[in-house]
Amino acid sequence: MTPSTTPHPRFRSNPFATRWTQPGACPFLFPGEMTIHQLAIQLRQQQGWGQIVGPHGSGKSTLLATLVPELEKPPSHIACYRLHQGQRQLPVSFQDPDLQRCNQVIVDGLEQLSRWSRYRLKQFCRRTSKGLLVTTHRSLGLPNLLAMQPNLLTAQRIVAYLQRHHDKVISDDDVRHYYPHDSHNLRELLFDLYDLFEQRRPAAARPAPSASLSR
Amino acid sequence: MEPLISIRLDNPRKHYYSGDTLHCQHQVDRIDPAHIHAIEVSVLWYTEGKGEEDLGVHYFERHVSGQQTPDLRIFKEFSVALPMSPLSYEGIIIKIQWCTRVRVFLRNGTEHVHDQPFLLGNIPVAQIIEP
Repeated sequence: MTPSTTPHPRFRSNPFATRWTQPGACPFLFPGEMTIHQLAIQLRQQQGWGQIVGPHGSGKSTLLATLVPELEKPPSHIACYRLHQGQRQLPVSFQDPDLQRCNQVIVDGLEQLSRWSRYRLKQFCRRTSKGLLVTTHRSLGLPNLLAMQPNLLTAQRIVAYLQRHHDKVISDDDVRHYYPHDSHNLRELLFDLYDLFEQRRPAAARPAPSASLSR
Repeated sequence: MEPLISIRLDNPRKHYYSGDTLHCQHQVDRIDPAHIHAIEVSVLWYTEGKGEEDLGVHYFERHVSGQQTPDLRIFKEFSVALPMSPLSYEGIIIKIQWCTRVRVFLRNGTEHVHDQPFLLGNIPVAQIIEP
């Protein structure tokens, strides 16, 4: 959970720092009318099976972090695993107590698993009547829950949200200029905007450097 | 309704130096004490930047609701000597921030967090130098 803070007068946070943009810190902003509650209902209608498909940096993990609290409501019991680059197996065995007890398995980055591991996971979930919700870069044969299609408008809304407590240092035109139209990678965009924010931070707003490092 | 978490530091400028003693008072309000499972209080630093966040805990205490402490909302205080490093730093690529943090864990599984940042040391703010 990202803490609420009263910033120190001298210390000014960069709204595009990982601290504020990482999954869980920034809510997923739906492009249309859909809400997180509706998405949770849709997943339940699919017996807990679904895939969130999208390219790198499109907001899959952010959506998952927004969705998990909705799915955790009783009587649901979830087991959530985040896979990293090159992780070919689940980090736990199928005998793991949490995995045995849960009724909803969530895997962030299913494409990392080998085909054999994916097959075994699906079979395990079917055999034990558990739901299986995954994020993936490409379709892996599960029912679709949402296909991520980030666009410029979404990026501008995210930037406005992140700057809600700041002066609007980054404008919609800046977002348009920096938006990666080929990859639609929002993470890459936010990295660029971090640097731009630092460059634009008004010098006058920074306190004058102290002449001495001692007290 | 969220609990109201109050943190007060003894130095009104919230600016300390290595070796100083930080004195902190904290209190939780606007919530039924029966709903509180535990409270954690810490003094810590964390990094902020484009990479993964790093942090270090300098002081920590945890109070769990029980027969001895049925009401965790009550006013509490502690003092701690501040370390030599890392000092607060406002760089371009990375920043180091110190704070006093109070986390309230409720019986329904939710948690609420409040930070009170402070400065440790006096490192000048980094400036971008135009070529």
